[in-house]
Amino acid sequence: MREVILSTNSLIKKYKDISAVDQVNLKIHQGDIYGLVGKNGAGKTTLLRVITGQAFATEGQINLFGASSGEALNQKRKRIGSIIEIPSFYSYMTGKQNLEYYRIQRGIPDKRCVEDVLTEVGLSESGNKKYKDYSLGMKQRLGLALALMNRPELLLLDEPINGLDPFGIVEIRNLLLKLNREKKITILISSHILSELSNLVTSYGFIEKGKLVKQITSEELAKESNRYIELKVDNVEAMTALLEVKLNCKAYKVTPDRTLHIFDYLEQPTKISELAVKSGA
Amino acid sequence: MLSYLKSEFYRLRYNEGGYLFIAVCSLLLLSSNIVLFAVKASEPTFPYATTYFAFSSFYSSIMIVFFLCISVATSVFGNEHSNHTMKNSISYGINRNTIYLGKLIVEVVYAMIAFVIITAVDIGSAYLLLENSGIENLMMLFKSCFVVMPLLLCAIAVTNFFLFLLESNGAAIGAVVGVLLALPLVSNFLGMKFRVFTELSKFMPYNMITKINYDYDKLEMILPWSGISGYYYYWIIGIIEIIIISAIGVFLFQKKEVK
Repeated sequence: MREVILSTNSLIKKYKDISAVDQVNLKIHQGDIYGLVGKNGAGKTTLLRVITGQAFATEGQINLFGASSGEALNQKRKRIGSIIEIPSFYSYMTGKQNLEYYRIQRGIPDKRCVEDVLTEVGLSESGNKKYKDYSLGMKQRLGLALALMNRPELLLLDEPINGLDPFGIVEIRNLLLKLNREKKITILISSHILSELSNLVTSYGFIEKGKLVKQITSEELAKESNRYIELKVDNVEAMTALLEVKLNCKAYKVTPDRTLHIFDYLEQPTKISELAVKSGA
Repeated sequence: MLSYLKSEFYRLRYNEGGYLFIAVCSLLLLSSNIVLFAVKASEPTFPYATTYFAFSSFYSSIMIVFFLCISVATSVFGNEHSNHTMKNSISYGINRNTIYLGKLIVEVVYAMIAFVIITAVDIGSAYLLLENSGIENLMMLFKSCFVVMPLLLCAIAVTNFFLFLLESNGAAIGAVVGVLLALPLVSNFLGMKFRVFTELSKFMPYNMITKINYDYDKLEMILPWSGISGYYYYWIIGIIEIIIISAIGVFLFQKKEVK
């Protein structure tokens, strides 16, 4: 069983009488890439701001790497890297100087880490450019560089793909996958576009009006959202063997009542029915 | 705290506004001494081209320095709210006390460095260009600076307080001017009717500076609390006010959400 490294317990964040985050019970396991999906204003950023200590919970608890309150929780935040809302830096300093500023502030002894993260996010040639001259995509990359600088165990990324061109989106997506697979970094990534996360995340949390309405794995989501052909046959085992051998179809599921859900051949259902009839299954 | 301070000094190295402030103030004082020198050169009977005049102009205008402290603190604070940069430190778990007091320390250190450089330029250029009126004049300048120093630091502490608590630098500066200037003036007026305000206004930095008088013939400072204890009172009151305002600031910043 993988360890839960971040969880919230009935977390509520109210602004006056409005609940921006409402009774959220979030669970993120080590190694997850967790996609937090919701419309603009659903409460994604507020939830991340509370987790990172920028805002305070009205009620409920956060448990981060086993710490849930006070200075202990604050200290555990040193194991996080985050981009919340837009990346923010000093405009009169270069990208490299900005990262150096935070390297010193965070007490990271390895001076090379600035160059390393700039290379990692594809900004090695723009490090000496002033931040105010960066494009939105470059700012996002610099934000990601800062989030990675302390070699975090958990990355919290609030819409990090905003402002990136399609090529940049693919690059960042691949980088996140690499970080997750090779460095075992757990990632919580928010987006208001589900498809942006589809090739990346392992679990989803859907947030709506501050409530976490559903948590689901990517496989479960794929199955739930797929269209399929429903087939009832007497000999399910024979039919599934035929599907695999004759039609090379492996995208099917047998339900507990022994009905077949076939996710392929949606545009050619006759091929399925012909196979069923000919085989006498 | 040490890492935070180091990072802030690193940032200050790239803040052109910091250099510009020192350069402009130094040039203004230098140019005033050059003007005195030039006038003396063209009119030998001109009586003001002396270190006595240059230094007394400086210490009798110390109120300007008091208000310049607002600009110094604002410049060092670095538009944290509009840049949204403070969230990077908070998200990393840097203690809010460290951030608040770290900023205050850096503002104070920068202000001291700026003050020393600017004063040194004034003193150096005065000795180079003007007639030397005697070491007592320089000592008088040092004494004046020493007496008002805690009040200047108090102005920085008040500015830091509002910069942390208000989102807009403009609003913060407005509030600082209100506390440092409007409040003592209003208190003085109210003091005419209610004695408690007369007593309160005595401890307000603006009033404490305006209450300093100079006997220019004897080259002596006349403080509201006479004798050597007057110096101590200025320091004690200044330090107490800095501690109170900073303690309230730290407390309130613990509860402030950062964007």
